[in-house]
Amino acid sequence: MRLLALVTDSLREIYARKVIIGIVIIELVTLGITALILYSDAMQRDYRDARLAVSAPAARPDEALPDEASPDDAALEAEDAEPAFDSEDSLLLGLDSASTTDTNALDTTTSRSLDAGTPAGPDDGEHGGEVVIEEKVKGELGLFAMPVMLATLFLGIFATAGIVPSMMEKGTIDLLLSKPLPRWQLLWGRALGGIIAVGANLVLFTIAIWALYGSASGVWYTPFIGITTLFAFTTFVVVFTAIVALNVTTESWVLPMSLAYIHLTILSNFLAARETTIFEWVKTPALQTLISGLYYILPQTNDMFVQTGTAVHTGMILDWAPFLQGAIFATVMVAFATWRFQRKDF
Amino acid sequence: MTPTIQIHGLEKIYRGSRREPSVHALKPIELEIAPGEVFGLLGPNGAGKTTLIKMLLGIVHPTSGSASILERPIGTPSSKERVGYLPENHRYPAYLSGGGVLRYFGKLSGIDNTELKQRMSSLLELVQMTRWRTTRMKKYSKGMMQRIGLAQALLNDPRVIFLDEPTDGVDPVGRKEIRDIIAHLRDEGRTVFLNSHLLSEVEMVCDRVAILNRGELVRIGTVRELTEAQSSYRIEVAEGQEDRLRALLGTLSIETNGESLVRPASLEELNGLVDRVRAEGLLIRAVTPARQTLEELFFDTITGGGGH
Repeated sequence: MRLLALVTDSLREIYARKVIIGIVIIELVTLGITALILYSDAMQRDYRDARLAVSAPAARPDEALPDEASPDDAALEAEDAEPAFDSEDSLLLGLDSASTTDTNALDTTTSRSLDAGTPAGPDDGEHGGEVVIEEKVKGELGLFAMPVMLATLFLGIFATAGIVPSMMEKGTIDLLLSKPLPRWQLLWGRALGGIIAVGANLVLFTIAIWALYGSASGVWYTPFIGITTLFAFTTFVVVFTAIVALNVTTESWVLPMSLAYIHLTILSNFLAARETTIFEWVKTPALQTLISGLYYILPQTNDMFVQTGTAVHTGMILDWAPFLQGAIFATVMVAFATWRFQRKDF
Repeated sequence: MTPTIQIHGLEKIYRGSRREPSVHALKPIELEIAPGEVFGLLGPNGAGKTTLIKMLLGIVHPTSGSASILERPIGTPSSKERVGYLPENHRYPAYLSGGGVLRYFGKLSGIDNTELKQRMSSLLELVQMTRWRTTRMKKYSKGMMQRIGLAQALLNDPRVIFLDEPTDGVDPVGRKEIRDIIAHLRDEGRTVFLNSHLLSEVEMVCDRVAILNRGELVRIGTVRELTEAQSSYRIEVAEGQEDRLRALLGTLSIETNGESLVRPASLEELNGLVDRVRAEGLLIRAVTPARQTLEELFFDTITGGGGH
């Protein structure tokens, strides 16, 4: 009950701040812009083309849509398809004449999926098109996952960086510490409110993006919601534990928030590119070691973004290392913040 | 009877840094406060009064020594279960109403919903804030904040209540009401630990008083004991003999409000002084006690006029 009271109060404070209105406006504007792009003629044409990508070359040399094709075209299409298979083929396969048609269909599908130039039947073209458009949407969502993560992190940090320092203000902390609950519960109960607020915002924002893409493209790629929210949330938690540790140490929110932003936008990218770019300029071994050390110590947020984008596209995480490192980093930060808060005089 | 609060050698030193020197905020203190006692702690700003309360509540960690509240070591959640606290300059979330503040802190104290509702309405009634229970804290005056603060401190039906400047910002009528509440708490057998700058207030409600100066407990006792121990006497002699009396007493006399008073350490010393006056042939008209007020005692103590 005490923990629930702390979490509820933390949420109340976040939603009582006017900054939340700004965050909602930013998110709505982002969604609006996304909707404008997705429903633009160019994007809609892209999706239509992707849907027809497989059957297009043979079935519609004039770029006409399948439902616009005349019955004559369909007949021609069917005739064109016939010569690819003959009775000899079926005999060689040991099939009787009754099953020849089915075999044709099977073989045709197989060959077309490998070679887009091979003539196709109407049904098969539709399935192939679905695959292409799904891949296209997955790719776009994979790219979209990264800015979604970054935006959520930025806005989330902005909304929550002050909740621990506001609790530590003179006159407030005295009262809270006089209540019969352990200090760690006070700190993390409060922080948990921030984490839940950001998590809820992230889920809603991701679902909105997913719904927009689904309605615009016709591809409802559900794993996007799970993958993006899970990994973006994990990334936020990792960064937030560091903010809380700095909050406790400095009793301020400006410095931790600024450092988090600097890390997310500059430092993390800089460190991730150490081997490919930075070490081309920095030749001193000591500096290289320092840069590498920082890379392994600080949260690898850039890598987390990249892995999340890849996971949305491919459906799997190719490298768990940034998340494992993040888990270790967060554990250390939680332990440090708890220790500092436990020992602090107010 | 086991004291409600027991303090043994409690000390606090704030470690300094390169820019700030260490501060010995509280020198080792020995103190016991009995159940049902209203105990007043006096001292100038920076004397260590708030530090002492904060140490007892686990807000500040002691450098050395130990203490217990209701036989539970300080700093543990269990020691705070039956403790109420009204801090100085307390701040409540501006987005909450008075009722919301009580609900929030009640839940943090572990009070279940049914009991909390009952206690909230009776306490709001007690501090006369029922009308304003739904008004947001940001619209409250200082006096209203104090009243809600007091209700908050009493929410968990505490056996010990720490009040740090409870009448700060409260009008005279409100002060009287708070004094009445403190008296009522004492009658219910609760222990009240009161920090206040208002000496007259302390004098009115406290059973015992301690004076802290520069982190040191320099005086402790009932108001009567403290003022009696430092009692002064006015010796009146026959007309025209005042100058001779003044010359005789010399450094033994002190000037207070234009009067010449003597402050003997004991009754024996006073009698010895009277004998000397009579031996000099002076005619004594009267020897009358001129008891110090708590305020005089306080100022004497902190300015070094009154030793131990």
